[in-house]
Amino acid sequence: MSKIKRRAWLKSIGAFSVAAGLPGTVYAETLVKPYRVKESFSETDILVVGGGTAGTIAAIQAGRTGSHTTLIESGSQLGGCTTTGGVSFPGIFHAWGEQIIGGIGWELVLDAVELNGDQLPDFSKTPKSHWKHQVAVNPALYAMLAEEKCLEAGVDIRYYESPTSVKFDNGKWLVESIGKGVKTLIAAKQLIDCTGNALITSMAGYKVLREKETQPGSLIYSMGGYDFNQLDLSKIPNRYHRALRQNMLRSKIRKTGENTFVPYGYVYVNGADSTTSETHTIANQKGRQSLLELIRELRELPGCENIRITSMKTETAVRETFRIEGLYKITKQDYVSGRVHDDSLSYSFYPVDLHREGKSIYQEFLKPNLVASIPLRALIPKKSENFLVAGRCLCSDRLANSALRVQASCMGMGQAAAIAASISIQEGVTPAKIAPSLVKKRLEEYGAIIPN
Amino acid sequence: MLCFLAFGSCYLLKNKVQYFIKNSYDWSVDLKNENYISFGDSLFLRQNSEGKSKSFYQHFSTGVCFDNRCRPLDITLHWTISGRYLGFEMPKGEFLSKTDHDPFTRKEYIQLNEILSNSDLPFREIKYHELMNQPESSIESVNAISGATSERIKDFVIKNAAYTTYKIWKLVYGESQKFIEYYTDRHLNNSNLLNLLESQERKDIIWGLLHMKDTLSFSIPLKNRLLSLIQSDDPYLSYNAVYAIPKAYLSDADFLEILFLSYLNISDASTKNSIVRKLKSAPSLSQNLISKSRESILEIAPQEISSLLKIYEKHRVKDSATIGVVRKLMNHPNAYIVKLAKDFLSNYEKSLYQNQ
Ligand SMILES: Cc1cc2nc3c(=O)[nH]c(=O)nc-3n(C[C@H](O)[C@H](O)[C@H](O)COP(=O)(O)OP(=O)(O)OC[C@H]3O[C@@H](n4cnc5c(N)ncnc54)[C@H](O)[C@@H]3O)c2cc1C
Repeated sequence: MSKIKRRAWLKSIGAFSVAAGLPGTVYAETLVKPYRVKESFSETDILVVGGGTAGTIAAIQAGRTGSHTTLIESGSQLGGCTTTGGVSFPGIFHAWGEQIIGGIGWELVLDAVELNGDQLPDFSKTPKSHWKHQVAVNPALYAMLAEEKCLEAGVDIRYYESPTSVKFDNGKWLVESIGKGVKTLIAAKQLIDCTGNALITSMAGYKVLREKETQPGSLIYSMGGYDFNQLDLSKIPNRYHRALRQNMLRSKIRKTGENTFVPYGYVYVNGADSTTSETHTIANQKGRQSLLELIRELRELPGCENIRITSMKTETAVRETFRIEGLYKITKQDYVSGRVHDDSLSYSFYPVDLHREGKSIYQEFLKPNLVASIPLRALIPKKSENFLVAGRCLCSDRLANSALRVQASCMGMGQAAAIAASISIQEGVTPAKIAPSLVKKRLEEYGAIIPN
Repeated sequence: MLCFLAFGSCYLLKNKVQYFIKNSYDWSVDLKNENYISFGDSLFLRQNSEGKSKSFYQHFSTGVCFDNRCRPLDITLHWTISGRYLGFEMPKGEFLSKTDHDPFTRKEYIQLNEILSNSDLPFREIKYHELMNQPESSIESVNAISGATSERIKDFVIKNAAYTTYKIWKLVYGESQKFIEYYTDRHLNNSNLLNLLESQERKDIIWGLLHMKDTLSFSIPLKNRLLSLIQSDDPYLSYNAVYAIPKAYLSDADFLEILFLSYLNISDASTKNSIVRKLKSAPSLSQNLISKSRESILEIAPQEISSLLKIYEKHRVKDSATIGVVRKLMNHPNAYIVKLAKDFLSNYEKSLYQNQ
């Protein structure tokens, strides 16, 4: 570069720098072309729909088998009820002094416990109240760790998306998924429905069922600005006591002992259903309206004048919607008698726990040393091919479902479904036809605990 | 004269009510060979002639009040140095009685002793006036409190002596116990820590593990005891033993090697997870440990390979043998393992580039 040229060039840089020093927006704006929805096509081995309690574990496990895995989640983070729903105390991993559910779900819980500076309680003693063996997790940490593990396992996460069509074509699932400004066609060898609502099962044309009356959902929140111990309860109507008392119990940093429970405030939302955007919108609105109403009422009570909401979950958590009609229906009798099948892949432990219209809870406890189990057939819709479900929408009668739906059980199902899907690909047969022994062996290799 | 009962969990000294729990060796007061340190005028620490702490005891002169009347309660409670309940005794001629003034039977004393040894009773959250089922409006009425025993606690109280049971339990697990734990924690040394870790009582071991501190000077017997607890069949002990590993041991190459071998043999996921965390936080890993871990890498589960590679990454392990083994993982049939190896090697190459 000659001297003169160089000087001119430097000058031009100088001029540019001056412009760059002005507020960016003045010179940065450009007109853009109207946005056209970005369309794409991708192929995957295992497609998991729903990155909630079960789906997160299913996706991590699928990725760890080396299968190319895609996860579609309509929300913005992983964990579902465990995180977004505020039910941040997964249970139950231990029964009668022993660990009964391990694997990836437990690994995730452990990492969350550790990163929160907590220490596990002693699970060798059976507590008087079953819920004391639930493990409180920090939901923010849980969501981040879940995502990190998915990414480490090579899972392609697609947030803000939801399938609009699901077709089985030439031995493959073709799933069209739409999200913010994107439309994707995904071809998958195996499909796992972890939406909690069996929506994908139903879209695929398989039968799903639902009770006339379902359990209420809950919108979870916490309140501050008052001191429960200073309240004169005799001056406050009974119906408010629960709301006021529950919110005074705080999530403790656990050291040891059976103090892992995190009581939480919630308002019931009757008929809450998260299956579609429309039904979930209604459930959210109803939850928020009754919480507003409650807060207004509480502020009228003596000693509660300064009550305020300190946190509220972004959506109503849902207990019960649709279940699949599967190759095997787990009955309440199976559950409470601790029945183990040849193809039982995971344990489940919780009392039968049915919330009735938000007014009372029907509970039935398992007798000592009994633990229920989940057969692979309960995760396979009738007449389906290369299709599995995991999570609360598994095939079960209503009372069995009220216990099976808990998080550790959902995590166990997620891991089992992913292993079954990967073996199906490897063996070239549909999940219903694979040997349970093969699935069990593989699950054990990945740290899961197998019923025997 | 001592009279041992069939359970071996208590004995009755004639004319003196005196109960203690199983395995509470050296419990009886031996005025000749012991020293005492007093805290206030009723709580004492007993030490043997060499100044080794044995246990604490405290005398309480108080009352149990209900139905507008109070009955005197004269009782001495004993605790281990970790605050674990050991037993109780009453002055000669004193005894416990029920609502109807009947004295406690021997069976009831045994039951009371068992109740007192259970630190997990719901009494902690229950207030005195909540012991009985009462309509809410009468909560503060003293006259109304001798109603039926609340369902929630009926299994944990001596029949017709709910207030007495509750009162003594609260004394056992009250301020004195907190003080004892605090005091022992402040005065913890190698010798009493080792005693606790070698106790026959699981609760003492757990207490010891939860109170291990980096500031203590550690000994070989303590190190060996910790390793044996890590390898214990009791997952909770082994988990807590790993958790308790003091910083000093993380600089001990032999200790870390045994810890790694334990990792390979232990099946409890929580303990394994804790071991990985400790190995990561060690200042460095010996060549021996790295070579042993390298040998195991092809045998272990995928999630364990992931943990091991993270340990290598944390310690910047980049010797040619290790890099060679990781390169071999690139041919693993599981694409996930291949990805882990690839990510590891690409970070390794980046670090080479940065160092140039
Ligand atoms: C209020 C309440 C209290 C509970 N208490 C306990 C308890 O104490 N202990 C316990 O263990 N369990 C408890 N449970 C039960 C437990 O939390 C749930 O049953 C369990 O988390 C369900 O897991 P899942 O994976 O089936 O569904 P979810 O966790 O709901 O996950 C479903 C995921 O799929 C996504 N999704 C849904 N539809 C689509 C779609 N069309 N496209 C893409 N993504 C979609 C959702 O966004 C969500 O992330 C409780 C539940 C509720 C509601």
